[in-house]
Amino acid sequence: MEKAKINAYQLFVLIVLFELGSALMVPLAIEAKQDAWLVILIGMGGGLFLYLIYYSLYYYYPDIPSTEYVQKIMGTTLGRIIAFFYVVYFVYLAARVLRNFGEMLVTFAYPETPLFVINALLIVLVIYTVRKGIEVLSRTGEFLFVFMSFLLISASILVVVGGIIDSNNLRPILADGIQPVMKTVLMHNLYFPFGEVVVFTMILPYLNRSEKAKRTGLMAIGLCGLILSLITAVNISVLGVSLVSRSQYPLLSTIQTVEVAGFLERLDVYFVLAVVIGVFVKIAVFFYVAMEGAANLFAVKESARLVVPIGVVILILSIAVASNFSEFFQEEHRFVHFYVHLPFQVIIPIFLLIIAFFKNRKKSKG
Amino acid sequence: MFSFFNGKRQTKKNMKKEQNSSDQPNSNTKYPGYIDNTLSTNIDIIRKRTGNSSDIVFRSLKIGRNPEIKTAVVYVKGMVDSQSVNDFLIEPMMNNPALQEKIIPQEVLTIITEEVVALGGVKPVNDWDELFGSLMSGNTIIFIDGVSEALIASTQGGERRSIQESTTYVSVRGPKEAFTESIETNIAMVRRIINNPDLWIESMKLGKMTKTDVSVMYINEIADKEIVKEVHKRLKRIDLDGILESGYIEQLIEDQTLTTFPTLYHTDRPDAVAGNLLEGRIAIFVNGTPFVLLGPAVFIQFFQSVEDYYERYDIATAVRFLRIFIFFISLIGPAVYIAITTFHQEMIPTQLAIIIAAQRESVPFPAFVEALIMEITFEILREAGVRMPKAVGSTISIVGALVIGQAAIQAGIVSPAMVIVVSITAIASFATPSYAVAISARLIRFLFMISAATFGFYGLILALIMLLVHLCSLRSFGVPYMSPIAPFIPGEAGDTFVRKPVWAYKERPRLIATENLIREGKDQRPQPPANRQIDNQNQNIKKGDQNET
Amino acid sequence: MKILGIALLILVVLISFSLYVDVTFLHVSLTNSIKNVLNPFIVMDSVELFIFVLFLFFLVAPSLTSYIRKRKKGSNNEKKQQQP
Repeated sequence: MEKAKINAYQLFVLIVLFELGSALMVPLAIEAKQDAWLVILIGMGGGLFLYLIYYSLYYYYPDIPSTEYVQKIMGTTLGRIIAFFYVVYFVYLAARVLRNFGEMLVTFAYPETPLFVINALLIVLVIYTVRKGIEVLSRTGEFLFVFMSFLLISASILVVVGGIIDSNNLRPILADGIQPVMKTVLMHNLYFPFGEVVVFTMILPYLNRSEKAKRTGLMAIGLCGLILSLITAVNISVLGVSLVSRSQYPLLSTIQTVEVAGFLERLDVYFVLAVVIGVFVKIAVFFYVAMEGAANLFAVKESARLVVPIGVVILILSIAVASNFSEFFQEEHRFVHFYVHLPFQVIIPIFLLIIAFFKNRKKSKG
Repeated sequence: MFSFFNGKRQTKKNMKKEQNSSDQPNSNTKYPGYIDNTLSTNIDIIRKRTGNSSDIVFRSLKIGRNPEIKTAVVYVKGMVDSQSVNDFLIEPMMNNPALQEKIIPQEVLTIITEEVVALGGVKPVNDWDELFGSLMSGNTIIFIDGVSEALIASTQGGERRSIQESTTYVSVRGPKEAFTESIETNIAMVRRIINNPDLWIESMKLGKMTKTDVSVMYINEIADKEIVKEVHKRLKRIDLDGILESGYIEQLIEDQTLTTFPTLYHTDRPDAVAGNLLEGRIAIFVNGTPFVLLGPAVFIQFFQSVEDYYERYDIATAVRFLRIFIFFISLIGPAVYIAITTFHQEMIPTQLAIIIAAQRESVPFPAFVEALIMEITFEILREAGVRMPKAVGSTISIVGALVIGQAAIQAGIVSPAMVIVVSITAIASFATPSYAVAISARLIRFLFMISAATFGFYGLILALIMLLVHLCSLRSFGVPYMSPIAPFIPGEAGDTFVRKPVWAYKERPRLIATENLIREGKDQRPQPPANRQIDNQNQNIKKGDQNET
Repeated sequence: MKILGIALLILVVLISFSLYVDVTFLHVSLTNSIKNVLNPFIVMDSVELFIFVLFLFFLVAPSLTSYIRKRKKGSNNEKKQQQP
């Protein structure tokens, strides 16, 4: 583990930017049609619950990252295997986020630039950042957070002033009952983006005041839930359900429809800025955590030596993970959300928590 | 093969070592370690050591009666205050009655020290190294025949630039005086502002050949002990043959060398130094330069000027926002233009897009090349303007205005829009208060232009984030470079982009002055009297003096 | 070397996982999905290739230099041992 400390505010900022990351880009919970915003709010509740699980694990082992306490809970061999799979999982997610982002840029802004080059550029930036360590990443995050809030606030003002919101699109609420809503929550939304906070089990030990971890995390997830729910509601009310469900990047479409005072139009840069900031932080966090986990697992003394190799792996994987965007999208929805996220975000942590609970009870009794 | 080389290298090293070791006694044999008791030998030694340099003055005198004792006064011409040498040293030695009697050589030293010389510092010395050190720094040496000691009289002086107005950091309001090249004057100027025994100064001589005076100044109660220690450690490490300017020291003690941004602040204004000392910073004075180093520095400091604190806070805040904006323009101005015209034409309103496109129609180059040509032309003009004699200044400005303004457009090499962008950028880069930051922004601007030319806004955003990461990774004496903003310190963010009112400066910067943080008393906010009449009664103002009644 | 090994291990695990997903969920044949993985790296234009090679260079360079340094040290030590 790197000798570094971050404060509660920095943790808050990192979680918010991390969660917003790619969630700003893609259509969220559109399976539930006009109730998508409700799905996100419920999903946020689930995310808060998941965070409490991760927090309790942190509470038992406040000084070590999850790759280490897995070994303490499950024993060295099994623990190492699980920890390795977590590292692999983080690398995989980083690659997926990168691919998604690259596809976005290629489709809408740079049709003639190869995907590989776009991904390579971002990964160079992330390599540079991760090499500087978690402190620099979180300090940068503080700046980017201010920037992101500025973007979101001014964009929402523009959308409201532009007079393109039609709240009729959000009605009727719960037309098909609660069932499709809950189904979407359990199949997709709980895991992406909220369940992905599982990476912060690796970052929480860096927190300088551990008593603030719970409140900070919950507040951050709550804020993200509200923002995402609001954005989804705005998307649907501006574009209508059918357009959102057909659109690959609904927020982009919404922003493109904004036109204020005759000359403030085509504000695509807003979208690109927000997404680049979010995706940058998201990949950097995944990357950093995977690097520290791998260094910890394979006893590499200087984790910085792993930066370039893991960066290259993420880059190669981001290209190789799917042959085209529709395949990528299919995988994401039909497979990754449920079969990949569920075990890593829910099942294993709950399992670990139960064992940790009994182990520590024994200890305190003995 | 390898062993062969290694062997050779080793012998070379050995030879060098031998040379070094043989050097040592050689230099010692030039003159003995201690002063001889015959005058002529001593003078010969000085002559030999200085190679008969013509600016060293030997003035021999005779004092005492029966027998007369030969003495000599030695000093370096131009380094001493010749009036004080004449009036307070040579004249009394020739005329003082105490020296006109019969005396023995051994007593002469005490008599001269106690009764004759009317100067502040006089002390005996018997070591040649010390003697040469003080002779070369402008002191006068008195030799007496038959005594194996000499006297050092402090007569440092000579011609120096007088205190003048600052030309690099000009202000409308505030003290006008600026530091000079003399370290004593500079230190005194700060002392005149902070009249407090807690203002501590530690001096040392750095540079093997130049033996430059370097002083570290801080306020004992406020400055962080750890940082003071660190400054000392880094200064002690310096082993250079010459320190010609504080820039040498800056480059030798910064935290990270691989950056274009300055991690130490420098100024030639005494009030700026005093203000920073009060915030817990440490000043490093170097003899021979008016620029004083201040550390630890933070990024936002380079956008502040002392005048901000003298103006009203709301105006100062507005000006600071303007400066940040200016910095951004000077950084990404041409890059944004390139990105928009090459990749994102849809972003500008149609009317404007058509105008720009019409202008660019006749230009044979892509926007990037166009911008590069203009930027480089501008940099050439600027460099010429800085270096050239003032008399030809108008020539350059005429040529520059014609080349940039008219001819380039008429020749169809650049478009008028590009000229506007480049000239705004150029003016912006001069409006940044700190030259050091402005020049690094000018350099980075080219990187931004390249990234914008290859990947449009995407490249530009990535480059900006990279710059941000880089800035966040810098430290100055362990203090994060972006400090009151990232890491965010709520109490201190009031002196960054905004400048809070003076009565709200409750605390010093927490990361710089770690202990003694309280800066001002409670209730500093001015409270006007609630009732006008009370005010009038108190001041016994006659009725009718004010228009109200 | 160890570092490269770690990276390769992660890469192999994830590529095989991605192939597994292709075959089981999207019903692509194994050969096709292997082709899909390799295709983007075979068909590269010069810029892409340049960047890719640059990355690979930075990947290998640290291990290579440390290897060379070790060998040098080793040979020096041997010679030193031989000398006495």
